This record gives sequence, structure tokens and C-alpha cells, in this order.
Amino acid sequence: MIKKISEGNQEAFKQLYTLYKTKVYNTAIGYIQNIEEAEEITQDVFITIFNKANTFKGKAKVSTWIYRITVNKALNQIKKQGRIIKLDKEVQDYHKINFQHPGVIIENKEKSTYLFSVINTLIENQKTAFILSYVEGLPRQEVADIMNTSLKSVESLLQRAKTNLKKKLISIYPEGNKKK
Amino acid sequence: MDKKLQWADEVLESLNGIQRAKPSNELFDKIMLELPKNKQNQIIPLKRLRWIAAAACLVVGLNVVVFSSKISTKQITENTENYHLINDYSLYE
Repeated sequence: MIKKISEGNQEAFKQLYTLYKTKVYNTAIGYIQNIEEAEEITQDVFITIFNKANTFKGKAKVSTWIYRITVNKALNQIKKQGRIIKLDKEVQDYHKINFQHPGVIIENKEKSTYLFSVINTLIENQKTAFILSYVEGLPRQEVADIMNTSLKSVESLLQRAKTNLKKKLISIYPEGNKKK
Repeated sequence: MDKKLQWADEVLESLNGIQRAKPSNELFDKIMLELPKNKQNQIIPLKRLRWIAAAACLVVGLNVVVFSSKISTKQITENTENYHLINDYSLYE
């Protein structure tokens, strides 16, 4: 399929799009937390796939290659917009974004807005491990392949990510409000 | 503190059962508009290539037929001429 795409075959490109659109979009939305911008990232990812299909050597799985492109594009977009937030005060302001992931089950909607508001406070590799594992729901080994690291490293990154997220969440606990 | 910890744990668990978000149906058309046109034009569909090859074979085949029939006509003419000449040489028989 990738070979056909590298030759400009639009039918093959459409098939690939159908297979991967949700994976790319859902990963992008995990980082960007904005529907329109996540669509822009998705668009950018698929245009890159079409243009760079000839550079795919087949050493990794197609899905791994596509996820890597998506993660890189999303991280670059965040860098461009200066969304890295370090101070707790900023976390509280950022929390006002109030992003609701469309796929979260109804009873968890409100709680998940707090979680998404602090995800972008994580450093890049912790954030990637967390989003790919918990937002995208990938197996740990696949996350390790995408991040070009070991399974052990991913588990360690996830552990640290959870610890950091917990600290941030405690710092934004809605005092005085009804517990959500 | 326990209350806060419990709440943080619940928030961390809030992604359990999450479904993947889906892009809008119009996104593919937007992407197709952005694809480079030259890459698409460089590719000649295989079906069209087959027709081109068939047409080329037909032209070459017809040329071979015409050329070979011309050669055989020329040979017949030359043979007839030779026959007449040989007959002419037999004047004194």
C-alpha cells in the first residue's frame, strides 16, 4: 500500500486514510486538545505520508511510522504555540480551557477535563507515553516501538507521569467546590 | 489530604473506557485538495498504459505486414522481368 502511495496512487491513499484517520486524529487531539487544530494536524500528517511514502523503508510497522509522524507534528505544534506550562499558577489558568475529549464516557466527562488540563505540564516523553497508553489505548510494547525505547523505559515513564500528574491535580483541587 | 488524593486518583482513572475521537467526514476532501498535483499527474494508470502498448503493437504489426507484402510484390515483378529477359536471350534457338 505504501509503495502504491509513493507512486501517487490515490486509491491506496484513501484506503490508508480510512485505516488510520481515527488513530491519527485521536492521538493529535490528546496533545492539542482542540478539535480544529487536531484536524489540521491530521491533515498535515496525511499530506506528509503522501509526500514521504517513498522514504518508508519497512524497518518499522506502518502504524509505528504513522504514529511517529503524528507525535512529532503534535509536539512541534505545541512548541510553536508555547503551550509548555511549568508553574502551578499557569496550570490553574490553563485549566480554564476546559477541554472535553469526545470519547470520554459521560460519567467521567468532568473529571477528565481536569486531567487534560494538566497533561501538557508533563515533559515530552512522559506526555507521549501517557497519551499513547491512556488516550490512544495502545499496548505498552507498541508505545515502546513508537518511542524507539524499551518496554521497561515506557513503564518507568508512565509511573513518573502518573506521579507528576497526581501532584499537579492535587494543586488544582477545586477547594470549596462540590467534589466533582 | 486524603480527600485530595482520592480525587486525584479518580481523575487519573477518568480515561477508563475512553473511545477514540473521530475526525469530520469532510477532512479527506480537504486533504485531497492539498495533495501536490504534479505527483498525481506523473502517474499513468496501468489501464491506459495497456491501451498505449496495444496501439503501438498494432502500428508496428501493420508496418511489418505492409513492408513484407511490398517486398514479395517486388520479388514477383523482378522474377517476371528476368523470365522475359531469359526468353529474349533465346532468340537464336
